[in-house]
Amino acid sequence: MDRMIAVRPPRVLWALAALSCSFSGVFAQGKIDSKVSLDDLRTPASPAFVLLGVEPSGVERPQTPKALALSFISATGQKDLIPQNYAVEVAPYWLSSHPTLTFDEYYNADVPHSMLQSLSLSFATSRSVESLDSVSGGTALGFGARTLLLPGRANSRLDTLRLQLTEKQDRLLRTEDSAETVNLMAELRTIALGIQAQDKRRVGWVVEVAGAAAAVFPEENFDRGFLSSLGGWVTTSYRLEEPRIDFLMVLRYIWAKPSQHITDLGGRVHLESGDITLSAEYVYRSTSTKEVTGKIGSVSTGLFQEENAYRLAGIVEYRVQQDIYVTLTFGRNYGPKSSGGGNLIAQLGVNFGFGQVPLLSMK
Amino acid sequence: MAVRLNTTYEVAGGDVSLTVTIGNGQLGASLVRLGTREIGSGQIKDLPVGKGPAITGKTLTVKTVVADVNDKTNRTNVGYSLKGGKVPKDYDLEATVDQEGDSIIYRATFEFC
Repeated sequence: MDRMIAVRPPRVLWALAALSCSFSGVFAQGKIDSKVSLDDLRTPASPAFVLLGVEPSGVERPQTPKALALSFISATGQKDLIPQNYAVEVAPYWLSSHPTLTFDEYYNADVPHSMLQSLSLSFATSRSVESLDSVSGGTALGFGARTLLLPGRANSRLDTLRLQLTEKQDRLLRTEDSAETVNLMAELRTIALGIQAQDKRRVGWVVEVAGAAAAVFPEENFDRGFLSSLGGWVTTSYRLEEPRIDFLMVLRYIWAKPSQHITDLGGRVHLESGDITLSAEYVYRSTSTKEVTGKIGSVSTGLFQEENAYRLAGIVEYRVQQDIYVTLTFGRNYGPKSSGGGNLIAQLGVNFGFGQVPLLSMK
Repeated sequence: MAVRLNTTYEVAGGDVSLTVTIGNGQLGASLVRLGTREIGSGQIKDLPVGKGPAITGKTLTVKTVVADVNDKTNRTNVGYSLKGGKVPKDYDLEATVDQEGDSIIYRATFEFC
C-alpha cells in the first residue's frame, strides 16, 4: 500500500533545531528562540519528549515503584489505558534501595554500573497530533532511554566539600544540644547540596548515549498506528578542571516517516575564565528526503532530495552580576536553503537567569 | 528526625567487631560508645568492640548521621554488622529525607548478653 502519510517535517526539524540551533533560533524559527541554549548540543535529558516535539509543563518523576504506579493510574482515565498528555521520567535503578552502595562506589562506577545507575527512561503521550492524512486528532506516544557509558570523575572541589561535611558531621555526632543540632543540620544541607551539584560537574571523559522512538495513532485507531520517527544520540565530552575547558563531540540521527533522514555531526569547545565564557561550535548536517509523487503502473515515482549544510557559531558571555549575563553571538546558521532566509547569526542579549532577552539582533 | 534501633546481641568467647555501612551512595559518619567510653568515630569498619565475656552486660551505642548527597535518590540507610558473637548479625535501617540535601540521625543500641 502506497498510502502517503505526512511526515510532519516541521516537528522533526523543530526537535533538531531545539537541539542544535544553540543561539540562532531567533533568526531561524521564531518558536524556539528563547528555549535553546549552547547546552542543546548535549544529549537531551528526555529524548522521548524531544522526538515527540513536546515540552510538558509537568513531568512526573516517581522515585518508588508505588509512586510510579500511582502516577500512571492517576493519569489514566477510567476507560483509557494510555494516559493523555502525560510525561514521565524514571530512573529504574533508583526505584529500589541499594543499601550496600557506598558513595565511593557510586562515584567510581565501572561501565556496566554506570549504565545501570544513570539509565533514565522517558515516556510521553500527546493528543495534539497534527493532521495526518488530513485526519485530525489522535494520540502520539514517545519512548526514550538515556544512559552514561562513562560518567567522568570527581573534581577536586568535591574533596574539599567532603572534608567540610565530615567536620560538620563529627560536630553533630558529639552534641545533644537541640539548637546546635538544628544549626549544624542547616550547614550540612548547604554542603550536601554543594556535593550534589558537583555530580553534574564531573571532569574527564563523559560519554552519553540516548535513543527514542515515536508512534502515532490517528483517530485513536490502533490499526492505523505507525512508527513516525526514531532518533539516536551519542555525545562524547572531555572536561578539564583547570583551565576550565570542555571539548564536546556529538553525533545524532533522526529518521522520520516516510523517508526523511537527518544526520548531525558536530563539536564544541567551551572555555570559562573568571566572568567570561567563550564557546565555538560547528555542526555538519545531512538531510535526505524521499517524497512519493505518483505511480506508473505498480511502480511509485517520487523525488529524492539531499541537502548538506553546516552551522558555525561563536558566543561570548560575560557575567555582569550573579545570574545576569550579557551574551554576544555571531556565526552562520544552516541554510539559507533549509531556513528559507538569511543564515547570519548575530545577536546581543542579556540573560537574567530565567531566559535570554535579546537586546539587538542583525540579520 | 531520628531513626532508632534497640536490640540485643548474644556474645560468645571471641572478639566482637562492628561495621557500619552507609548505602545508596550517601555520605555519613558514626560515633560509637561502649557504655560511656568512645571507642570509634567516622567510618566504622571491623571496629573491635571487645571480647565476649568482657562486654557482657554492657551497651554499645552508635549514633550515625547521614547526609543526602546523592541527587538520584532521597533514600538513606545504615547497615550495622556485628561479628564475633554466637552468630553474625546484620541490621538495616532506612529513611527518606524530606528535602534534597537534608541529613538524618540514626541511633542504634546493642545490649550484649
